[in-house]
Amino acid sequence: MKKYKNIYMYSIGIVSILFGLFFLQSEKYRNVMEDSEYIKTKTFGNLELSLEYKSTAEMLNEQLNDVEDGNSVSKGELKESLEDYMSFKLKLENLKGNGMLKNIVKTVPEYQALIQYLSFDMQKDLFLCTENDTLQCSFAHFERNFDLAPYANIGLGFYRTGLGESICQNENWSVLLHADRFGLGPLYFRFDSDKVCDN
Amino acid sequence: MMKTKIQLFITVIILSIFSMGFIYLNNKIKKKVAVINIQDTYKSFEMTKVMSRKFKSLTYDSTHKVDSLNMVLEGYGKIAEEDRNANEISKILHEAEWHQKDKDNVKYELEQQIWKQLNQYLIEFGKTSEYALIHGSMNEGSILYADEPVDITDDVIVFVNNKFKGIE
Repeated sequence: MKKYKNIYMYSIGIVSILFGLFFLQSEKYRNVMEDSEYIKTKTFGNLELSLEYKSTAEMLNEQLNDVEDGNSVSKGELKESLEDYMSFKLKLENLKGNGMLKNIVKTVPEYQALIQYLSFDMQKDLFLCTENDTLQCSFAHFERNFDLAPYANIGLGFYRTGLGESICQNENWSVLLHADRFGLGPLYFRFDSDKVCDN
Repeated sequence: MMKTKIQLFITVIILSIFSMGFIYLNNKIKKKVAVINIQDTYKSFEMTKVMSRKFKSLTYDSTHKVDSLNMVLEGYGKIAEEDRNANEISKILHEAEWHQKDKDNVKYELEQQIWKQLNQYLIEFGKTSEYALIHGSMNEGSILYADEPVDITDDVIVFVNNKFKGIE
Protein backbone atom coordinates (compact mmCIF):
# COMPACT_ATOMS: atom_id res chain seq x y z
CA MET A 1 0.00 0.00 0.00
CA LYS A 2 2.89 2.34 0.90
CA LYS A 3 4.50 1.51 -2.42
CA TYR A 4 1.40 2.76 -4.31
CA LYS A 5 1.30 5.83 -2.12
CA ASN A 6 4.86 6.74 -3.14
CA ILE A 7 4.11 6.21 -6.84
CA TYR A 8 1.03 8.36 -6.44
CA MET A 9 3.04 11.14 -4.77
CA TYR A 10 5.76 10.97 -7.45
CA SER A 11 3.16 11.20 -10.21
CA ILE A 12 1.53 14.25 -8.66
CA GLY A 13 4.97 15.89 -8.36
CA ILE A 14 5.93 15.21 -11.98
CA VAL A 15 2.55 16.30 -13.34
CA SER A 16 2.71 19.52 -11.32
CA ILE A 17 6.21 20.33 -12.62
CA LEU A 18 5.19 19.65 -16.22
CA PHE A 19 2.04 21.70 -15.79
CA GLY A 20 4.02 24.68 -14.46
CA LEU A 21 6.65 24.42 -17.19
CA PHE A 22 3.96 24.17 -19.87
CA PHE A 23 2.33 27.42 -18.76
CA LEU A 24 5.58 29.32 -18.48
CA GLN A 25 7.06 28.03 -21.72
CA SER A 26 3.93 28.23 -23.88
CA GLU A 27 3.47 31.91 -23.11
CA LYS A 28 7.11 32.63 -23.87
CA TYR A 29 6.90 30.66 -27.12
CA ARG A 30 3.72 32.41 -28.24
CA ASN A 31 5.30 35.84 -27.64
CA VAL A 32 8.36 34.91 -29.69
CA MET A 33 6.33 33.51 -32.57
CA GLU A 34 3.83 36.35 -32.74
CA ASP A 35 6.42 39.00 -33.41
CA SER A 36 9.82 37.77 -34.44
CA GLU A 37 12.77 39.86 -35.57
CA TYR A 38 11.92 39.22 -39.20
CA ILE A 39 8.13 39.43 -39.11
CA LYS A 40 6.32 42.46 -37.73
CA THR A 41 2.58 42.18 -37.30
CA LYS A 42 -0.20 44.66 -36.69
CA THR A 43 -3.83 43.71 -36.13
CA PHE A 44 -6.84 45.99 -36.45
CA GLY A 45 -10.15 44.22 -35.95
CA ASN A 46 -10.28 41.41 -38.50
CA LEU A 47 -7.44 42.77 -40.58
CA GLU A 48 -3.92 41.59 -39.87
CA LEU A 49 -0.98 43.18 -41.65
CA SER A 50 2.36 41.47 -41.39
CA LEU A 51 5.63 42.46 -42.97
CA GLU A 52 8.35 39.86 -43.37
CA TYR A 53 11.95 40.71 -44.17
CA LYS A 54 13.40 38.44 -46.85
CA SER A 55 17.14 37.98 -46.93
CA THR A 56 18.97 37.72 -50.27
CA ALA A 57 19.60 34.02 -49.66
CA GLU A 58 15.92 33.41 -49.06
CA MET A 59 14.92 35.36 -52.16
CA LEU A 60 17.50 33.52 -54.25
CA ASN A 61 16.19 30.20 -53.03
CA GLU A 62 12.61 31.18 -53.81
CA GLN A 63 13.48 32.43 -57.28
CA LEU A 64 15.43 29.29 -58.13
CA ASN A 65 12.55 27.12 -56.94
CA ASP A 66 10.19 29.02 -59.21
CA VAL A 67 12.34 28.38 -62.28
CA GLU A 68 11.74 24.97 -63.85
CA ASP A 69 15.34 24.45 -64.91
CA GLY A 70 17.39 25.97 -62.14
CA ASN A 71 20.67 25.16 -63.91
CA SER A 72 19.90 27.48 -66.83
CA VAL A 73 19.96 30.50 -64.52
CA SER A 74 23.21 32.20 -63.61
CA LYS A 75 23.05 32.10 -59.83
CA GLY A 76 25.82 34.66 -59.50
CA GLU A 77 24.03 37.23 -61.66
CA LEU A 78 20.71 36.56 -59.96
CA LYS A 79 22.31 36.95 -56.54
CA GLU A 80 23.94 40.22 -57.57
CA SER A 81 20.68 41.62 -58.87
CA LEU A 82 18.85 40.57 -55.71
CA GLU A 83 21.51 42.12 -53.52
CA ASP A 84 20.61 45.51 -54.95
CA TYR A 85 17.28 45.39 -53.14
CA MET A 86 15.96 44.98 -49.64
CA SER A 87 13.05 42.62 -50.04
CA PHE A 88 9.92 42.14 -47.96
CA LYS A 89 6.66 40.28 -48.12
CA LEU A 90 3.59 42.19 -47.00
CA LYS A 91 0.72 39.91 -46.06
CA LEU A 92 -2.79 41.24 -45.58
CA GLU A 93 -5.01 38.69 -43.88
CA ASN A 94 -8.67 38.54 -43.04
CA LEU A 95 -8.81 36.85 -39.64
CA LYS A 96 -12.46 35.95 -40.17
CA GLY A 97 -11.27 33.45 -42.75
CA ASN A 98 -13.24 34.48 -45.84
CA GLY A 99 -11.79 36.23 -48.89
CA MET A 100 -9.44 39.06 -48.04
CA LEU A 101 -10.44 41.76 -50.54
CA LYS A 102 -14.20 41.17 -50.38
CA ASN A 103 -13.94 41.81 -46.66
CA ILE A 104 -12.83 45.38 -47.40
CA VAL A 105 -15.05 46.27 -50.36
CA LYS A 106 -18.71 45.65 -51.15
CA THR A 107 -19.30 46.36 -54.84
CA VAL A 108 -17.63 45.12 -58.04
CA PRO A 109 -16.29 48.58 -59.06
CA GLU A 110 -14.79 48.96 -55.56
CA TYR A 111 -13.23 45.51 -55.90
CA GLN A 112 -11.72 46.45 -59.28
CA ALA A 113 -10.42 49.71 -57.80
CA LEU A 114 -8.81 47.81 -54.93
CA ILE A 115 -7.13 45.38 -57.35
CA GLN A 116 -5.88 48.36 -59.33
CA TYR A 117 -4.55 49.93 -56.14
CA LEU A 118 -2.78 46.79 -54.93
CA SER A 119 -1.29 46.12 -58.38
CA PHE A 120 -0.09 49.58 -59.30
CA ASP A 121 -0.70 52.33 -56.78
CA MET A 122 0.21 50.78 -53.44
CA GLN A 123 3.90 51.25 -54.21
CA LYS A 124 3.41 55.01 -53.82
CA ASP A 125 2.21 54.50 -50.24
CA LEU A 126 5.25 52.52 -49.11
CA PHE A 127 8.47 54.01 -47.76
CA LEU A 128 11.60 52.90 -46.00
CA CYS A 129 12.42 55.39 -43.25
CA THR A 130 15.63 55.89 -41.33
CA GLU A 131 16.31 58.70 -38.88
CA ASN A 132 17.35 61.17 -41.58
CA ASP A 133 16.13 59.74 -44.82
CA THR A 134 13.08 58.35 -46.56
CA LEU A 135 13.13 56.10 -49.59
CA GLN A 136 10.16 55.27 -51.76
CA CYS A 137 9.36 51.66 -52.58
CA SER A 138 11.11 50.58 -55.80
CA PHE A 139 8.66 47.85 -56.71
CA ALA A 140 5.59 46.11 -55.34
CA HIS A 141 4.31 42.90 -56.82
CA PHE A 142 0.77 41.87 -55.92
CA GLU A 143 0.35 38.09 -56.04
CA ARG A 144 -3.16 37.52 -57.31
CA ASN A 145 -5.11 34.65 -55.83
CA PHE A 146 -8.54 35.86 -57.00
CA ASP A 147 -9.63 36.22 -53.40
CA LEU A 148 -9.83 32.47 -52.94
CA ALA A 149 -7.53 32.67 -49.93
CA PRO A 150 -8.18 34.78 -46.81
CA TYR A 151 -4.95 36.67 -47.45
CA ALA A 152 -3.20 38.75 -50.09
CA ASN A 153 0.57 38.80 -50.52
CA ILE A 154 2.56 41.69 -51.91
CA GLY A 155 6.28 41.40 -52.59
CA LEU A 156 8.17 44.63 -51.94
CA GLY A 157 11.63 45.85 -52.86
CA PHE A 158 13.61 48.93 -51.85
CA TYR A 159 16.64 49.88 -53.93
CA ARG A 160 19.60 49.70 -51.52
CA THR A 161 21.76 52.34 -53.18
CA GLY A 162 18.95 54.84 -52.65
CA LEU A 163 20.01 55.00 -49.03
CA GLY A 164 23.69 54.25 -49.59
CA GLU A 165 25.12 52.12 -46.84
CA SER A 166 23.43 54.17 -44.16
CA ILE A 167 20.59 51.73 -43.71
CA CYS A 168 22.67 49.25 -41.75
CA GLN A 169 24.39 51.96 -39.75
CA ASN A 170 21.06 53.11 -38.34
CA GLU A 171 20.04 51.36 -35.16
CA ASN A 172 16.46 51.18 -36.24
CA TRP A 173 14.60 51.74 -39.41
CA SER A 174 11.02 51.26 -40.41
CA VAL A 175 8.92 50.43 -43.37
CA LEU A 176 6.06 52.90 -43.53
CA LEU A 177 2.73 52.06 -45.10
CA HIS A 178 0.12 54.76 -45.53
CA ALA A 179 -2.85 52.46 -45.04
CA ASP A 180 -5.63 54.96 -45.84
CA ARG A 181 -7.06 52.49 -48.33
CA PHE A 182 -7.76 50.12 -45.42
CA GLY A 183 -9.30 52.80 -43.20
CA LEU A 184 -6.09 53.25 -41.23
CA GLY A 185 -3.39 55.88 -40.99
CA PRO A 186 0.38 55.54 -41.25
CA LEU A 187 1.73 52.20 -40.02
CA TYR A 188 5.38 51.79 -39.05
CA PHE A 189 6.95 48.34 -39.16
CA ARG A 190 10.18 48.80 -37.25
CA PHE A 191 13.15 46.47 -37.70
CA ASP A 192 16.35 46.13 -35.75
CA SER A 193 19.35 46.52 -38.10
CA ASP A 194 21.54 44.23 -35.99
CA LYS A 195 19.21 41.37 -36.73
CA VAL A 196 18.06 42.18 -40.23
CA CYS A 197 20.99 43.80 -42.04
CA ASP A 198 22.95 40.56 -42.34
CA ASN A 199 22.10 40.33 -46.03
CA MET B 1 14.38 6.65 7.73
CA MET B 2 15.15 6.85 4.03
CA LYS B 3 11.46 6.64 3.14
CA THR B 4 10.63 9.48 5.51
CA LYS B 5 13.30 11.63 3.88
CA ILE B 6 11.93 10.93 0.40
CA GLN B 7 8.38 11.69 1.53
CA LEU B 8 9.55 14.91 3.12
CA PHE B 9 11.41 15.84 -0.04
CA ILE B 10 8.35 15.20 -2.21
CA THR B 11 6.14 17.16 0.16
CA VAL B 12 8.51 20.13 -0.05
CA ILE B 13 8.51 19.95 -3.87
CA ILE B 14 4.72 19.77 -4.03
CA LEU B 15 4.34 22.64 -1.60
CA SER B 16 6.77 24.81 -3.57
CA ILE B 17 4.95 23.99 -6.82
CA PHE B 18 1.63 24.94 -5.26
CA SER B 19 3.13 28.19 -3.94
CA MET B 20 4.56 28.97 -7.39
CA GLY B 21 1.18 28.22 -8.91
CA PHE B 22 -0.52 30.47 -6.37
CA ILE B 23 1.89 33.35 -7.10
CA TYR B 24 1.48 32.83 -10.84
CA LEU B 25 -2.31 32.79 -10.67
CA ASN B 26 -2.36 35.70 -8.26
CA ASN B 27 -0.38 37.78 -10.73
CA LYS B 28 -2.53 36.55 -13.58
CA ILE B 29 -5.81 37.51 -11.94
CA LYS B 30 -6.31 41.20 -12.58
CA LYS B 31 -7.82 43.12 -9.72
CA LYS B 32 -7.02 46.77 -10.11
CA VAL B 33 -9.07 49.51 -11.69
CA ALA B 34 -7.34 52.26 -13.63
CA VAL B 35 -8.37 55.52 -15.20
CA ILE B 36 -7.04 57.20 -18.32
CA ASN B 37 -7.80 60.66 -19.58
CA ILE B 38 -8.93 60.03 -23.12
CA GLN B 39 -8.63 63.66 -24.21
CA ASP B 40 -5.02 63.92 -23.07
CA THR B 41 -4.21 60.56 -24.64
CA TYR B 42 -5.76 61.62 -27.95
CA LYS B 43 -3.92 64.97 -27.92
CA SER B 44 -0.56 63.42 -27.04
CA PHE B 45 -0.89 60.57 -29.51
CA GLU B 46 1.79 61.02 -32.20
CA MET B 47 -0.62 60.00 -34.92
CA THR B 48 -2.92 62.89 -34.01
CA LYS B 49 -0.06 65.31 -34.68
CA VAL B 50 0.80 63.58 -37.96
CA MET B 51 -2.83 63.60 -39.07
CA SER B 52 -3.24 67.23 -38.05
CA ARG B 53 -0.42 68.17 -40.44
CA LYS B 54 -2.00 65.96 -43.10
CA PHE B 55 -5.36 67.66 -42.58
CA LYS B 56 -3.78 71.08 -43.07
CA SER B 57 -2.06 70.04 -46.28
CA LEU B 58 -5.14 68.23 -47.66
CA THR B 59 -7.48 71.12 -46.94
CA TYR B 60 -5.07 73.94 -47.79
CA ASP B 61 -6.99 74.92 -50.94
CA SER B 62 -10.42 74.60 -49.32
CA THR B 63 -9.35 76.70 -46.32
CA HIS B 64 -8.09 79.51 -48.54
CA LYS B 65 -11.17 79.31 -50.72
CA VAL B 66 -13.49 79.55 -47.69
CA ASP B 67 -11.46 82.47 -46.30
CA SER B 68 -11.58 84.42 -49.57
CA LEU B 69 -15.32 83.72 -49.98
CA ASN B 70 -15.92 84.99 -46.45
CA MET B 71 -14.02 88.16 -47.30
CA VAL B 72 -16.21 88.66 -50.38
CA LEU B 73 -19.29 88.19 -48.19
CA GLU B 74 -17.95 90.72 -45.69
CA GLY B 75 -17.55 93.13 -48.58
CA TYR B 76 -21.21 92.61 -49.50
CA GLY B 77 -22.11 93.49 -45.91
CA LYS B 78 -20.79 97.00 -46.48
CA ILE B 79 -22.95 97.59 -49.56
CA ALA B 80 -26.48 98.95 -49.22
CA GLU B 81 -29.09 96.16 -49.18
CA GLU B 82 -30.86 97.25 -52.39
CA ASP B 83 -27.55 97.17 -54.31
CA ARG B 84 -26.74 93.60 -53.32
CA ASN B 85 -27.01 90.82 -55.87
CA ALA B 86 -29.00 88.10 -54.04
CA ASN B 87 -28.15 85.44 -56.58
CA GLU B 88 -24.46 86.16 -56.35
CA ILE B 89 -24.53 86.03 -52.54
CA SER B 90 -26.44 82.75 -52.57
CA LYS B 91 -23.91 81.30 -55.02
CA ILE B 92 -20.99 82.36 -52.79
CA LEU B 93 -22.68 80.99 -49.68
CA HIS B 94 -23.33 77.69 -51.45
CA GLU B 95 -19.72 77.45 -52.61
CA ALA B 96 -18.38 78.28 -49.13
CA GLU B 97 -20.66 75.64 -47.62
CA TRP B 98 -19.49 73.08 -50.16
CA HIS B 99 -15.81 73.73 -49.32
CA GLN B 100 -16.56 73.62 -45.59
CA LYS B 101 -18.36 70.29 -46.03
CA ASP B 102 -15.36 68.96 -47.92
CA LYS B 103 -13.08 70.00 -45.04
CA ASP B 104 -15.42 68.38 -42.50
CA ASN B 105 -15.43 65.13 -44.46
CA VAL B 106 -11.64 65.00 -44.56
CA LYS B 107 -11.52 65.79 -40.83
CA TYR B 108 -14.04 63.05 -40.04
CA GLU B 109 -12.16 60.49 -42.12
CA LEU B 110 -8.80 61.30 -40.49
CA GLU B 111 -10.33 61.24 -37.00
CA GLN B 112 -11.81 57.83 -37.73
CA GLN B 113 -8.36 56.56 -38.72
CA ILE B 114 -6.85 57.95 -35.51
CA TRP B 115 -9.55 56.40 -33.29
CA LYS B 116 -9.33 53.05 -35.07
CA GLN B 117 -5.61 52.82 -34.36
CA LEU B 118 -5.79 54.35 -30.89
CA ASN B 119 -8.56 51.95 -29.81
CA GLN B 120 -6.57 48.97 -31.03
CA TYR B 121 -3.47 50.12 -29.13
CA LEU B 122 -5.57 50.69 -25.99
CA ILE B 123 -6.92 47.14 -26.25
CA GLU B 124 -3.35 45.86 -26.59
CA PHE B 125 -2.33 47.93 -23.55
CA GLY B 126 -5.24 46.48 -21.57
CA LYS B 127 -4.25 42.93 -22.47
CA THR B 128 -0.66 43.38 -21.35
CA SER B 129 -1.44 45.46 -18.26
CA GLU B 130 -2.30 44.31 -14.75
CA TYR B 131 -5.64 46.10 -14.72
CA ALA B 132 -8.98 44.37 -14.89
CA LEU B 133 -10.86 47.53 -15.82
CA ILE B 134 -9.59 50.66 -17.50
CA HIS B 135 -12.02 53.53 -17.43
CA GLY B 136 -11.79 56.26 -20.05
CA SER B 137 -12.37 59.58 -18.34
CA MET B 138 -13.07 62.95 -19.98
CA ASN B 139 -12.56 64.92 -16.72
CA GLU B 140 -16.33 65.32 -16.42
CA GLY B 141 -16.75 63.59 -13.07
CA SER B 142 -18.24 60.46 -14.57
CA ILE B 143 -16.66 58.35 -11.82
CA LEU B 144 -18.61 58.88 -8.61
CA TYR B 145 -16.55 56.55 -6.48
CA ALA B 146 -13.66 54.19 -7.08
CA ASP B 147 -11.56 52.35 -4.59
CA GLU B 148 -8.00 53.54 -5.23
CA PRO B 149 -8.26 54.29 -8.94
CA VAL B 150 -4.87 54.67 -10.59
CA ASP B 151 -4.35 57.31 -13.25
CA ILE B 152 -2.27 55.61 -15.94
CA THR B 153 -2.63 58.23 -18.67
CA ASP B 154 1.13 58.85 -18.91
CA ASP B 155 1.91 55.14 -19.22
CA VAL B 156 -0.77 54.74 -21.86
CA ILE B 157 0.56 57.70 -23.87
CA VAL B 158 4.05 56.18 -23.90
CA PHE B 159 2.62 52.79 -24.87
CA VAL B 160 0.40 54.01 -27.73
CA ASN B 161 3.16 56.25 -29.12
CA ASN B 162 5.62 53.36 -29.09
CA LYS B 163 3.05 51.17 -30.80
CA PHE B 164 2.49 53.83 -33.44
CA LYS B 165 6.21 54.14 -34.11
CA GLY B 166 6.47 50.37 -34.33
CA ILE B 167 8.58 50.05 -31.18
CA GLU B 168 7.44 46.90 -29.42
